[in-house]
Amino acid sequence: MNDASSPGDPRSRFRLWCALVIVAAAILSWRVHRGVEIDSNILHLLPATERDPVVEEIVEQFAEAGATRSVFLIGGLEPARSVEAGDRLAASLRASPVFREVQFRVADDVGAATYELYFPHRYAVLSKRMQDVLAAPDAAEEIVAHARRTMYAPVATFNSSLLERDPLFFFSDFVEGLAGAREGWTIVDGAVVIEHDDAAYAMVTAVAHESAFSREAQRTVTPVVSAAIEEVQGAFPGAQVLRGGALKFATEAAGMAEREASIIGIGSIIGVVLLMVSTFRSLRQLTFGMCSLAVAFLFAATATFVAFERVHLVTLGFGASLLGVCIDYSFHYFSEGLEAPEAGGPSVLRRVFAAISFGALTSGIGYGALSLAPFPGLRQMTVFSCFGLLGAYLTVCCLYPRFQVVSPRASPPLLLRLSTRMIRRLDAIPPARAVAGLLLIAACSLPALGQLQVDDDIRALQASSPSLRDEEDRVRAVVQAGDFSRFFVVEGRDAQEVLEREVALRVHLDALVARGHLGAYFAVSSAVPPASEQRRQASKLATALDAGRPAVTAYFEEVGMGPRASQGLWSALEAAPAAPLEVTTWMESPASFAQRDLWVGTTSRGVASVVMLSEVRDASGVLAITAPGVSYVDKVSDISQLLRRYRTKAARLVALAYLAIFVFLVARYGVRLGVCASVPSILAALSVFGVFGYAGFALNIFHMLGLLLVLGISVDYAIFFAESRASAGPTLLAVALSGVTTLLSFGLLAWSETPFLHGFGSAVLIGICVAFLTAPIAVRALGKS
Amino acid sequence: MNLSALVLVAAMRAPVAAEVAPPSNLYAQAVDAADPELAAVQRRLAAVKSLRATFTQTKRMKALARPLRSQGTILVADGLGVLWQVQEPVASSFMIAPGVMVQVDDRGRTRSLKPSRKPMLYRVMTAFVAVLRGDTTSIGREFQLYFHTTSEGWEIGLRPRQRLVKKAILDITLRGGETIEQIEIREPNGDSALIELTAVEQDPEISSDERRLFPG
Repeated sequence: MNDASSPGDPRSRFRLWCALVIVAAAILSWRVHRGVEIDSNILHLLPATERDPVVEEIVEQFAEAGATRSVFLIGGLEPARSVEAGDRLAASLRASPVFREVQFRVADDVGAATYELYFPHRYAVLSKRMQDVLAAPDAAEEIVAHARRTMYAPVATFNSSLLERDPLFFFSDFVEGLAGAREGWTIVDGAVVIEHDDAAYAMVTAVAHESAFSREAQRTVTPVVSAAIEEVQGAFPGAQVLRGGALKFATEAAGMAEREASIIGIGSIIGVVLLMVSTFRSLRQLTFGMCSLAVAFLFAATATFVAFERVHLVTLGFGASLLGVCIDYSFHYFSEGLEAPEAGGPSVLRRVFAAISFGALTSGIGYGALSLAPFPGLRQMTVFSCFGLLGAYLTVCCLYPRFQVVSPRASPPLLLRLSTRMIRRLDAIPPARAVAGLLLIAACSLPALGQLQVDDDIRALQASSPSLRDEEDRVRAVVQAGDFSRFFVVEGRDAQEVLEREVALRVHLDALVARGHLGAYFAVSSAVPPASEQRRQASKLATALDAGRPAVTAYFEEVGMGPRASQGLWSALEAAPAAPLEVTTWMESPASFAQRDLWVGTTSRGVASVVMLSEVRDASGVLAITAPGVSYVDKVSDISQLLRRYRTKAARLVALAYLAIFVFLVARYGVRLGVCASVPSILAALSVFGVFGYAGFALNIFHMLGLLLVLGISVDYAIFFAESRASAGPTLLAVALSGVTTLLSFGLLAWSETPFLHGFGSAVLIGICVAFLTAPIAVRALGKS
Repeated sequence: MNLSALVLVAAMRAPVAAEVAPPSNLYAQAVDAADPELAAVQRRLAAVKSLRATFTQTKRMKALARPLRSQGTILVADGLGVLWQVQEPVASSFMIAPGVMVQVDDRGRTRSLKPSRKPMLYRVMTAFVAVLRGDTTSIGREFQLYFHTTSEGWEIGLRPRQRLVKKAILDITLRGGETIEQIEIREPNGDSALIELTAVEQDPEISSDERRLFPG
């Protein structure tokens, strides 16, 4: 049939299309020229936790500190040898510009620095043991008894020099208590060597410029680290180097994601090409099909780069799956053209126009709904996908009719004949049987609904190889560092208020440690008591010794304590109190190297510090703590809770979308056909739930988002069939081709090792299968008969 | 060495080796570990597997007008370790075995110390035991050896090689004749400790109670 209505239309549409393509290409090249930033930091995909902004900033800063830090433990050697190996490793790391700071052999200064920092305050900064002694009434007697014991003990921890300046061993006592927090930390030749389980590890700490989650950092830092480790293992046979920190996980995850994205992209394209060639037996359709995909990507990329400053790598990866959806319209056009190849372009278009327009519309709704989720990455994906769809749709409408896309043939190709026969058989199914079949599918799924589980824990989304996790666990066990994801943020007007609030918090934490609910914690106030505390202790000490002067004097007489020592003690206690030890002084001293990061310093509303927890065995105790100025941060739990909230929101969104589409279908096709057209998508969703329920897979928000996509695509199929004519061979063929390519694109995701892609892909895979199988039956056998 | 030991070393601020006059001319000339006379004395000492003695420790410190005296017993048990029991004036006991150090004070409170935490005493004691066993090679690694015979018998001197140990110990002098009789430890700042052993019992009976105090 020739289109007699508006002969000029295909040409002018084509020109319009050309113009759009050229404009898009121009914009894109301009944008690329200006510099496109590809964001590779996975963390930026996560939604912002709805937290106090100041606390959030501190959390970010702390997370950044955690993400840039790497720890290397060198074991398997004699301690002195491992120190040499540590020197070598540190030198290699320092030689590279990727690291901002490499720490090794810090301890040489630490001993002297700790002495210089604390000795002047030996009467004010006391050990816990000494503070407890002072609380008792006969404190002076106990102090003297302890001093006596120390004097006569076989283990000599003092000499004349120290004795003269600290005759009652306050400083020695304090130092013993200070170092006790880190078990097994020793110093060999000025380097930190940790003894754990009969092995000794030299520890090198390195801080990189970039976060471990940025792809850029992974690409530059990981090779430097690997090379340095290899060098050490070569020069020191028997050395085992353990890496601690996020870098190895992030690199593995990103590498996996990249590999998979390429596989999916390549797999999809190969699949599409093979399908096209084998179905249509001509390169012409392939060329035009590729053209529509190219334009789809052109539009998608242009829109995304214009709308967003930085485009995330995952958006581009996800876009690779778009191929399977965009090609649907071309398939429809080609299949229709196959049936009547002598018909002109515009005629073919007229036949498929309604189907592909509504299909594009509903897919657009499906993708568009994604943008309502709070994930920044999803908004980009929505823009990318919608404009991609638009590009493909416009190409089919404007480009294809202009040219002879389908070459005239003597007879329709094999697959078309098969589809025509198939659809006739499907059409012949009696409605009763069709209803029974569909109900059966529904019935299979319904029981499993009760078994459905949900799991919003973000840790379930982190699939790291067991060897990396073991390595991290070992490093954690040896270093006994705090947990960078669980801590308290303590705020106050000034440093002293923060320290005092920390002390109040620590009372609760000590109780938890005593009960075994918490392993340990790290707080600045343990190293620098608040000034009020220091004054209080000094005063108590002076009072106690004054009250017990006779006992002290008797003891000094007994051991023959020289006049310099005894006079020194009494005059120091009677003198005006010295200025207390300040946080700033502590920060500047090498003695604070292990805990310095805990002090956040000035924020927009005062001063803050962090109290880091280690080994939280029972979170309820920690969560129950309330204290002024203190907020608890558990990053893992916070994000998991956020994911749970948004999963429920997404579920409602999905239900809403289904309702909206149902209304649309009924409005367009009337009640009977409308209802039947909704059936495939409903069954698709039910089956996804059913399979997950039976298999025991837990649902999370990504499955919900997958369902949105399933809705969009399954409605496409329903609409294709609803708009189809009596002989719907081409339609079946088109839907079959679409189904296979979609399955290829998204289905491949189901085999991904990245959990969220895997979840997404599985949901789509199951849904599309069911939709594809039920669409012709529901719509034609039931709806149209 | 651990952090607290490092801090205390800094606190003790020992001045760099102001040469304290040696008790004799022992430290005038270093000897080789293979020196025959030293080896002969070592063989004689090594023939005794275990040793029990009463000791008197006299600590002379510049800060104190009088020397500090304590008394007790010491047991060097072959294959087990060293048990050092102070009885006067404050009771405490101290056990050293390879890789283990346990201190018990007069209140019965036990403190288990890793040798890495209290290296000085551990070094002194292991050096002492090594001398008793005639294990000159192992001491030779940690200390420079000195030796000469005197009218009363012999003197073995040990001077630490490592920088950090030198800050705390100047030298360890062991004196004896038939058996070991004295151990003198001198510090760079002039403090010294003299341990005199009397009633030395060679290869004594070690009771099962005593055995239980050692690990393994």
